Amino acid sequence: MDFHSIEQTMEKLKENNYVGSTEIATVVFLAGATGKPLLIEGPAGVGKTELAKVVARALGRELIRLQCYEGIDEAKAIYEWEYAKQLLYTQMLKEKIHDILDPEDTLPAAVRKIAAQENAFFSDYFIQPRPLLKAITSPEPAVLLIDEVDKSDPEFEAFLLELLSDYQISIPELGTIRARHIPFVVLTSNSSREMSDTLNRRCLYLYIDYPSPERERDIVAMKFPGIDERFAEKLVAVVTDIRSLDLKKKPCVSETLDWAHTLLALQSKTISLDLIIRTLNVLCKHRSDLDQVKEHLLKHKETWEGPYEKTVSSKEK
Amino acid sequence: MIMGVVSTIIDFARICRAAGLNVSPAEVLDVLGQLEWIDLAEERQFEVVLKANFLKNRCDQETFARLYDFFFHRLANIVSNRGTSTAGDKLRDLRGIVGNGVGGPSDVDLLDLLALDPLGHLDLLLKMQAVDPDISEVSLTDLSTEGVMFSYRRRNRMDTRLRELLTRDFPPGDESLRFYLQGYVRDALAEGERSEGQEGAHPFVSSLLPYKPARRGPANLGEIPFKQLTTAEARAVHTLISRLTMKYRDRITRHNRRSKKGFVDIRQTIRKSSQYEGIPMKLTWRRRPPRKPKIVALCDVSYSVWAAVPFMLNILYSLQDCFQQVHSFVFIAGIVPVNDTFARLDTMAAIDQVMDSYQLHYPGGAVYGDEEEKAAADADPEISDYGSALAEFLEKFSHVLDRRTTLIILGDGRNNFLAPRADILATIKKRCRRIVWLNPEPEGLWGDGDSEIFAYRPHLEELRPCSNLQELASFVSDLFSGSRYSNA
Repeated sequence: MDFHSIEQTMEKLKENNYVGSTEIATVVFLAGATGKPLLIEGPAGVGKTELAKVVARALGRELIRLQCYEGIDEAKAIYEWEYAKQLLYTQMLKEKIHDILDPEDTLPAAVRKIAAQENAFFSDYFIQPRPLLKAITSPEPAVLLIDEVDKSDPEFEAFLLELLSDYQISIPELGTIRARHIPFVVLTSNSSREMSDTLNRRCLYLYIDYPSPERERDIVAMKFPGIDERFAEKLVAVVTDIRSLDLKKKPCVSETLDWAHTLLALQSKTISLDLIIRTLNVLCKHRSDLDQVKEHLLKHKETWEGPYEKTVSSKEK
Repeated sequence: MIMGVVSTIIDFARICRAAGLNVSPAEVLDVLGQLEWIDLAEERQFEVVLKANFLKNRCDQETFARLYDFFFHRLANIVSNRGTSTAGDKLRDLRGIVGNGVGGPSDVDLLDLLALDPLGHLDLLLKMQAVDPDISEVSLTDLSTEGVMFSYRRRNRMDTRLRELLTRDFPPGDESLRFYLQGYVRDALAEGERSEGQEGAHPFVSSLLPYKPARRGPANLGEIPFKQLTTAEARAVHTLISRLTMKYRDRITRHNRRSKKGFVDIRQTIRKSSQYEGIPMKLTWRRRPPRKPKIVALCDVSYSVWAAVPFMLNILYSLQDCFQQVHSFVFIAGIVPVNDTFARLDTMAAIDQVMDSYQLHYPGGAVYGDEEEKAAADADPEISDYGSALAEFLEKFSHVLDRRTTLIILGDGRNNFLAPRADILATIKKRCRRIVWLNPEPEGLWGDGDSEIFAYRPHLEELRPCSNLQELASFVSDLFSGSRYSNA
């Protein structure tokens, strides 16, 4: 199944619990339609990986995930020979060699005969496919998620290039393996380093920023159905306010959701300043951030105390 | 595909390229292919297609948004108004517009553009002349920074024009325009002087702007002394540094990985071989922790040498994760640790704050500190005293030193004829691995006048010049190359 139009893509994402903007839907649709990989950048926790998962669910495809890290190489990403299996088989098949070789054979003849059998040990049977090979040899079209590609080394990018431009992988012993189906490729990056121009060139680029308060409210409402609308509104307003500060790590969407979860678990009906400060460690993960936010909240005490209406009116002013 | 759409996209791609975005013909083809999938009547979708293909870096987001708005909204507006007056006329009348504060809607647009970023947009307009014949009469050549400009005659013309423009009363609230125009003129003229190598400072500029040493001969950004950089160039150098540090980081990780493969770990390999009947199928390498240098930097921020400091700090903190630790201090006479500032803020913001606390700015510029002009120094300015700074460092902060630390001192050693107290440096030397002194002054001036650099020299492992990006970069590169400064 594929996406047919931008509207349908939007619809599908929503069905699978992803509140996306038109921009996200358009780019996802284009990536599907043109078979180009999608490079998603943005701060941590805005739903980059989630988008790939949702696309897999929406298309009803298997999600194959490759988590990148410093030092990842082709043996971890593409394929590896199963040495142990090969060795085991050589041991077991020792006897068989006598059958193949005639006692009267000359040495060159024996070498020729063995050489003719050699392929037996470098075949699909002994290859251990890693995510990239798995994605292109999969019998059904798949979604390939290459997560945090910026963590990998520049050399690794070179391996990716062949895959992303031609959807093929070269294995010296076996030759070139072409994709049976072109996978829907999603690369995510936290921009800890810039990707090479050649890689960028092959991808559609999508930058996902922190959502607007409206979208974030929709996300909260979607993840916690039945949540009080005013409660959600204030919750998002607090997070948006905290995000506007100059912090080491701004609270992301997943932290908003964690916080909502925390507040609901505490069965609180309203969000008081005291409650915000007590549960602040769900939103802020650095001590200096905690101090800064506390100071900010106490300074603007009147905004967060009392009912939410006050917040709205003071913001409007 | 309608030909009009094709040529529009090609034009837009060229403008994006002119503004520094990396847009290849292949991307233009991709866009044209993808336009078939969307509803062209929906502008948002059209914009997203262009954005997804032309934009490859989040830093360029703003530029792209501005270019898109300019090309598809404002430019159309300007061209459609041609019946009454041409875009060229409008720009030529800029003086009048600014003076009177009245103009049509597209005049306001133009002024907005200029106020946002005259350098970029004037440049852009120029580059667009080649693209769109309709706006070919935009005569801004005298403002250009491109090519071999500023012949004597031209400069005279520009002089008169700009003098009128800048001394005229600006309408209230339009200060930003004046500020940007002045900055632009200063940078443009500095470029002109460099490319022409004419003698003497510009009479008009010198009356208007703070003194800047004249620069001669074509130079690339890496060769221009830190002290003579214009604001725009300083920004460009910081961008270069971020690219350089990326390269270093790649090199360092590669080096670390390769160096892991030095020795086979025999015990591990034999143990692992047991699952293959004693055949060592998998070799295990002895893992050595990557050798990361510890850095302590002392930076002189007195008026004579401060210009190099921001770049040094930028490199050190951008590469922070490649060092075991970085400690830095700034001093004039009293020494101040700045690590806290860097822990709290983003690198560039921290540099701004440190520079701001000493009221160090490029004249009229905003690279460091806020945009307001400040008095050059306090009422009672501190003068450099290396002796007391070193003594204070030894007394209060010597705990940051150990046998693996490289101490970097960035300064000119000009001690205002106070006691150099080189013996303190000798004591410090015993506490750390090595001391490297980077001197931003030209080598010819070392030891001249109140420079005490040679008194310190016997205690230094190395004394090297560091007056421009090239020299700074070669030092940092050596810092990581195993042979020279390794912690072996």
